[in-house]
Formats: sequence, C-alpha cells, structure tokens
Amino acid sequence: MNDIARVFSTHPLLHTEDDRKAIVAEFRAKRAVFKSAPTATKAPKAPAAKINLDDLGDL
Amino acid sequence: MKERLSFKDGIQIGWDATSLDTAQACLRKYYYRMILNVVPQDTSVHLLFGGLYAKALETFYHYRAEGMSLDSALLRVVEQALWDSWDHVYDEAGNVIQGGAPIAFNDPKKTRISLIQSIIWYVDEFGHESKDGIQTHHLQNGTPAVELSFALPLSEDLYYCGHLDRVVSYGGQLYWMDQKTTGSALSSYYFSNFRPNNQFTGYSWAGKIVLQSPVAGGIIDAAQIAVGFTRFERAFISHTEAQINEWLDGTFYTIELAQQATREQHFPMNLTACGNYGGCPYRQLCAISPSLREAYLKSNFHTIEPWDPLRPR
Repeated sequence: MNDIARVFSTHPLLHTEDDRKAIVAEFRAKRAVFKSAPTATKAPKAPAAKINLDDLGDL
Repeated sequence: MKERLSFKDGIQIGWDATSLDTAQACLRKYYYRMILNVVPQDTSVHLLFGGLYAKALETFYHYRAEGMSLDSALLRVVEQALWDSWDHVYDEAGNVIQGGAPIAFNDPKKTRISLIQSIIWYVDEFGHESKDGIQTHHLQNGTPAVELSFALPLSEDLYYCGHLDRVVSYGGQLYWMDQKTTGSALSSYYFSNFRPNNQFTGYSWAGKIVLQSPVAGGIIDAAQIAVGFTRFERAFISHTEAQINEWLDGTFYTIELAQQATREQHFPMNLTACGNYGGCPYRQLCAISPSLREAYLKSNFHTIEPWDPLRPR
C-alpha cells in the first residue's frame, strides 16, 4: 500500500509493517525539512514572559 | 456496572488530581462530573488527543526499558496509535471487523495525522537515552519504573491515587516524567500553569513513597501541536518539603469540603471559574433556569463510566 494518505484512510487491520515504516520515514523526512528551515520561515517562538518589577511602579 | 471502589456510602474516599482539580474549581462541576458522571455529548478533542499521545509515549518507554530497539518500539506505538485513533465496529462476538472510520478530531491542529507525526517527532527529539543523560529508572526488583499506579493512604479511610508514566534518573537524582500537549506556544507562561499544580505536587509527594527514595522533582515534556509542525520543550519542576506539606493541607481541606457538600447534597457554583480553560463544559447547563436543567441534561449530555481513581488501570 505505502501511500501515506491511503494508509491513514484504511482500516488498521489492513496495514502492513512496510506501511508503518513508510509513515515513520515520511514524517522523519518532514521533520528534517522543518529542522533545517531558516528560523525566519518557522513559526515564531513565543518570547519568555519577562516582567521588570521596577516598570510596574507602586502596586 | 462495576462497583465504584473510590466511593463509600456515596462519599468519595479515593481521590486523585482530576477529582481535586474539579472540586477546587467548582463544587457544582464536581457534582456533575464526579457524582452524576455526565459529560457533554461532544468529547473534548484535547482530552482524546492528549490521552492517545501520552499512552503511545508511555508504551514506547516501556518497550525501550524491556530492551526493544528505538525503531522497533516506535513502529509498535505507531501501530497502536493508528489502531486507537480508529472508530472501530465489532461483530456479534465483540471482535473488531473491517469498517468504521478514522476518529474525527474536529480540530485544525489536533488531528489523527498530527497525532502520529507528534509521536514520531517526539521519539526523534527525546527518545534517545544515553548513560550520562536521562534514563528510565529501574526499581529494586529490576523492573523499569514505567506505568506506576499508586493508591496511598492519606488517612485511615482516605486514599490519594495517581499514575506515574515514567520515573527517570538524571545526574544521580530521580525525577518523575509527564507528557503534555497544547495548541499554545511553549512560553514560560505556559509552564507557569504547572506551578503550583495538584497533579505534579502530588507526584512529588507520592514519588518519594512509591520509590522509597528522595525525588528531586519532575520533568515535563511539552509538545506544541501546530498546523504542519510540532515543537517540543522540556521543563524541570521541583517542590520543597514545605510546598508539599502545604499542598497536603489544601488537599485535606478540599476533600473535606467536597465530602460535606455530598453529604448535604448542596453543590454551590463558583461563578469565577466558568471561563477557565476556554470555558467550563457545564457552563450552558448552569446558565439556564434550574427547572429546565434536567431536560437539558438529558438532551445535551450523556453518562459515562464513573471516575474511579482507586480502580487499578
């Protein structure tokens, strides 16, 4: 079978070991692309929350 | 229906973090969820996704601790997750037969595909163990410290229950480990949700007793599930003895309050909690007039298997 979309839409009883290996390989390849993409093209990472208490004045 | 071990004469005696969270949030919510066992017709996608994800990774570490190779363990849990995320149909004898369909998650981020992707990406991110890094701890009898369910006495007729997915050793110290998924960014604000927190302080309290050894704290592996990618962050949490004692004190108080409410059958609403975490699932029910609630309950909610922390998994 080995076509990822088809594996996902097929009953798990019909999956073969090769189908699962193909899924793992496909997502590993996708991760490699994601990890190697320039930072600017990745979704921005949320900045750590920093609060300067001096900026808040008297509370 | 199975006997409910966590209740005695209608009063809850077996408690866990979920029961505590519910009772602390709102006694009316506690009544609907823990006493009546009713939930909205639509299952929460977040609970479903998080449950399947955590189960897969817990099983992965179990296989690894038994000596299975990383790739073999990964293939096994992918197989399991594909199976568990399918809405199966059964024959008359109760056997799974071909048919049914993939479970519809009805969420743009948390889907069946992103579930499988997140499991594979997690294993490649954190699944490798090294002797000088994080390793699964082994108990004194040699068994790996994974899937450790506990029910510890809080008093003569009160128990606190939980389930440690995995205990690891790192830098010569022991840590419990837990998995979380979120659609939000993994900022320091996200992790601040876990300090303080019933589940994790309870783990630190129970860990010492279960492992008969000091526990330095916990490690949270969080996954941000986004459209097209999954990002991971790891955070360490520790609790002082004083913090744990304070948590215990609050736990006893909450339990006493919920038991008293149950005895009196009086469950007042906490109106300041209705908007928490995207809105309480019982908000619409509470919003209508009391005389209409029973009919609303019947048409919009269904009864599920009672929450029973004392029943072993």
